[in-house]
Amino acid sequence: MAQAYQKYLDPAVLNQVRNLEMKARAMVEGFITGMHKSPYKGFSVEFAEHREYVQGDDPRFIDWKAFGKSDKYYIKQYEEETNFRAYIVLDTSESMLYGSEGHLNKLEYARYAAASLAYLIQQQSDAAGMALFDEKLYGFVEASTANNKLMEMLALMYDHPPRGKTGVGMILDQLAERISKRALVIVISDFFDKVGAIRSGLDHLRHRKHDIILMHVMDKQETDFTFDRLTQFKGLEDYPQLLVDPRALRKAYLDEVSEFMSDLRAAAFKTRSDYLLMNTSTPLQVALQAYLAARSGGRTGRQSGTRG
Amino acid sequence: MMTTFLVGAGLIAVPIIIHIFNRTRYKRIEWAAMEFLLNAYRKTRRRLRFENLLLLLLRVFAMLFIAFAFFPDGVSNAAKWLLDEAGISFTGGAGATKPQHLVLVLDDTASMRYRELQLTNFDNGIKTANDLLSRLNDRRDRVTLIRVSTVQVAAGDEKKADDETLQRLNRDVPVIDVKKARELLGHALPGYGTGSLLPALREAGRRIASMDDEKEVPRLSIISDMQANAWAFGNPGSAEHQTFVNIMEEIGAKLQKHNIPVMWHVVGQNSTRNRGITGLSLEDPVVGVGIPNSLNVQVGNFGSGGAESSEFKLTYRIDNEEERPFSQSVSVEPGMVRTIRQDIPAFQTAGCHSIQIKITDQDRLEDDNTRTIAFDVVEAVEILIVNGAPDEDFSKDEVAMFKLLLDISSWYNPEEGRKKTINRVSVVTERQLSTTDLSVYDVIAICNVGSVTEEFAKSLYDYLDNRGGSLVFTLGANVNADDYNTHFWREGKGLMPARLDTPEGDDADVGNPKLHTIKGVDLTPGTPFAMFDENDLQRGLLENPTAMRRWYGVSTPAELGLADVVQSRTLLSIVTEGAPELVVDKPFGRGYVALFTSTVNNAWNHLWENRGLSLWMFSELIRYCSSRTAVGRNLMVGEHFTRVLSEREQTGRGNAIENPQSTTDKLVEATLPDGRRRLHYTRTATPGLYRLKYLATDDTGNEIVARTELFSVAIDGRESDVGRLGGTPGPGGAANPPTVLKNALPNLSMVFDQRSEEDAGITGKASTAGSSDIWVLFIGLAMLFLVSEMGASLYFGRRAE
Repeated sequence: MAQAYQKYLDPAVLNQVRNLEMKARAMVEGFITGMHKSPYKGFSVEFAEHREYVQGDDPRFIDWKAFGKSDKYYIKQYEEETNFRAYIVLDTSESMLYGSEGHLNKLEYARYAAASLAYLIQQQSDAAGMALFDEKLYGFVEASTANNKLMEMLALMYDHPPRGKTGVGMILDQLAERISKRALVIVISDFFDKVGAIRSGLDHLRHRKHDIILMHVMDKQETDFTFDRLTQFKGLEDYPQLLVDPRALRKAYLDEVSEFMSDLRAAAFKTRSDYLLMNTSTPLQVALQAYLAARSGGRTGRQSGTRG
Repeated sequence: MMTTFLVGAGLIAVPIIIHIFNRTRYKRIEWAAMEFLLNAYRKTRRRLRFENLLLLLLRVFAMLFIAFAFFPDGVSNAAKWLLDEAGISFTGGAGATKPQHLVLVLDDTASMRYRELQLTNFDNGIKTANDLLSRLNDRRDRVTLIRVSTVQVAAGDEKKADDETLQRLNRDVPVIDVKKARELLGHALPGYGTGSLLPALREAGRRIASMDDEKEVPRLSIISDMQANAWAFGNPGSAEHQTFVNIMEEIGAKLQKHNIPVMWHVVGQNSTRNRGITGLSLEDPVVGVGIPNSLNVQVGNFGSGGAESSEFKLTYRIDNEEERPFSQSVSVEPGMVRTIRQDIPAFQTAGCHSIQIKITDQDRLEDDNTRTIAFDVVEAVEILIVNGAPDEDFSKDEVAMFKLLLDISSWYNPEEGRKKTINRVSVVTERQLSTTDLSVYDVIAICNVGSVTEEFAKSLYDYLDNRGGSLVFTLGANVNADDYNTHFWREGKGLMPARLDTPEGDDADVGNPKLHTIKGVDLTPGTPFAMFDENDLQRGLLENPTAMRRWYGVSTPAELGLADVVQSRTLLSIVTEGAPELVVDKPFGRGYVALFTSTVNNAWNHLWENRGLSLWMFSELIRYCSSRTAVGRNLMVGEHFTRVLSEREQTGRGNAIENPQSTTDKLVEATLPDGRRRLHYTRTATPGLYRLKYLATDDTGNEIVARTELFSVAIDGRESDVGRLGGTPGPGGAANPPTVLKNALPNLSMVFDQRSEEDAGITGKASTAGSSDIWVLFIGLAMLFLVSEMGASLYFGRRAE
């Protein structure tokens, strides 16, 4: 019987995205088996060419068969496979719990997205890792191609309770320090943090040569704010409550949200990060397929998004 | 007021409650993007609060106007109450922050009972007064309420009015607070009395003059129908006009300091019409059993409205018999007054009787459509003539002609149309007087009697005190003025109404008579000479004043400064400058004394013969004396009824009066110094027939009515003339009251407020149209506010998008 956390591997989603190749925009260091070939040759399983032994080479890699034929010391060189390492960084703060009626809440949506991406990456024989965060970083899973790692990630997402405030900027800083090799960092969050702090974190990641995708998960009500009667808004993440006629506040609210999203996009652009707005009212497969198709075709810039 | 306020507050609270209730009915959601929402709220909360307040106000106004539409008085009263409680004054204008002192002159004379549609002018006046009070601050301001009529119907239930209430109403007008004034107005009833506005304005002026400008702001409002009679002084030709102007200018000067105008509130329409009975008397005031008599009914067709039919339908009713129509049709053209004579059947029984006259057509002032007269019917009038100068020659005898006139029935000839009389005349000489029982006589005439003995004088004083009859003095050559003054004048304390002066004049000028107009003589029905020439009361009857004064002049009490002692009055005088009185009279004891300053001999007969007249004047005087009790029974509204009872008239169980409302009142009884009882009744504020019942005890000890006396109370005929000061406006018409007043008081700052139920739609049962218009207006406003509220909601909503 499948574990409960395996529900995040939604077949519908996976069917939509499995044929798509995740192509990193930058080569990553290291190599493991996978579809992303490394430009560096080394000692891997796939033979590339011979070269003469030079002092300092490890004698273990001398091709003795070639020595027997040519009496020269050749070192067997294997073509090193591209080492695609992706870290999925998932926001599990309280604000991710919001979901308007008839839709998944943002956290659930994000979990599906995270699980799908992790699966996809592993299916490509690339290494996927994961980190959860709110104000702190939790359960960091090193990138790996091993199947058990996928299960570990799913279990981590499933088990970790949503709590705390969103602290994206600080978390990105921590990740930059923690991920030693170049990797694709996919941040799935509502990014309800100061854009300045987020920008700082992104800069730090970029400085470490990491590639970044910001998957901005928003609920339709958060972007449209179509409430039509007196409502008491009880703030998540320790915000106070507010009783207000939303019709009267709608314009001001939308202005605020629009400004925030604009600033976030600008921060992504300036750090050459991809930005994908994911609206929970849009089916996940549609959102991912559209993004990945665009990414693989190179038709898109760094900005992308879906609206319900 | 509190209830009204609570209801009003409840209505106004409805939208607030709905508003608050709606604030409690909201959706609760947990929200993630709270920072954006809070930022948005911080930036917009001022605008939101303003919009919320505006919406709430619109709803409140909507409810307020709906409430106004259905309960206009209640809401305005509640609002006033609320503002008063908050210490906010309604009164605008200069000095609004100072206490206001409103002097309110309210016309409550009978003409104010004129009914326009459903409401009387008095009703409209009360509404106006309440409107004025509503502009004052209950806590701060004061009111002086001056009612014009000196005869006021008691506040509250007039049937239960008592003397104390009437006295309270009639004593000096107090300064009262607004609530008290409102309470008094709430109980005020229109009176039936008459009166000029001038004394009320004088009192208003006195009150305003005494106000301290630093402490209070004077205001004057005059509410009246501007009836011409009550405002006669407003006409420039009136003797009192200058007094009126002076009073108003003094008031105006005082008000001008505060920049406040005199407010005139003219109630009712300029166009008026009314038919009324203005006078009622008997042709012969002495009504004898079996003697035919007639009624003289004075009717008027008043007002300026025109279109009132000149035909009158009149009926009369004797006692409790059925109504009978007048024998002839009665037609009085608009603007005219006419006296109608109606023969009545001879009475067959002696005692108190009454006759009620009624105009059967309805009109706008119904109270003067009925009038009642009460009188005694007697078997005979016993007259004693004391002859001071007897002579066998008829033409030379002092009283032969006089007796002939009084005892006319002795030569009564129906075929010649001469009247039968009930007078039974006895003549005695001075010597026979001491053996004569005076108490059997109703009238005693002392004619040219010479010296007066102590015994003679005492018999006359006793007669007046005990019998209560009438005593007539006529003078002549035999009269000793000193004796008369000593015994009868007694420096004003005696029975004679004037002191005799030196005789003068002679008979020489009788051949050259000259007519003199009678002025200053009360010729209203009831006075002795009114019937003398009924077709032209202004026609002179004294042809030669010199001849009239040939014997004695008299000094009037006024000249002697004895007014407090002597109640004398002049009944008839010769209108030549400096000419003395001809007839002076006064009540004395229980009786009445008249002094005729000349003789009653044949010289008078000669004097009048050229005019076809004779000594009828004397017989009129005697007749007047004979009917005095009947005269005293027919009062005007407000006149007091008084009876002094002799010992034999006192029944022992007291007395009671049944008023026109058929309820029983008590009389004020007092014992005079000589032991006789005096009955006094002041509550004659309502016209109609009153019954004075003398109560006694029968053999079984039960209370019975031993005797009943009737008296009537009537509205002054002047109140029937509802024409206004200045007459009718319009083409060919005269000016209206404001125009007259503006012309009379050109320098006075005045504001005129015309309050007519018909013209201005004053609210009331009859003014359904006006009320409906207001209703529609307020509903319309309420709807407008509701639509505005909806529009505002939509606008704010869209703006948010």
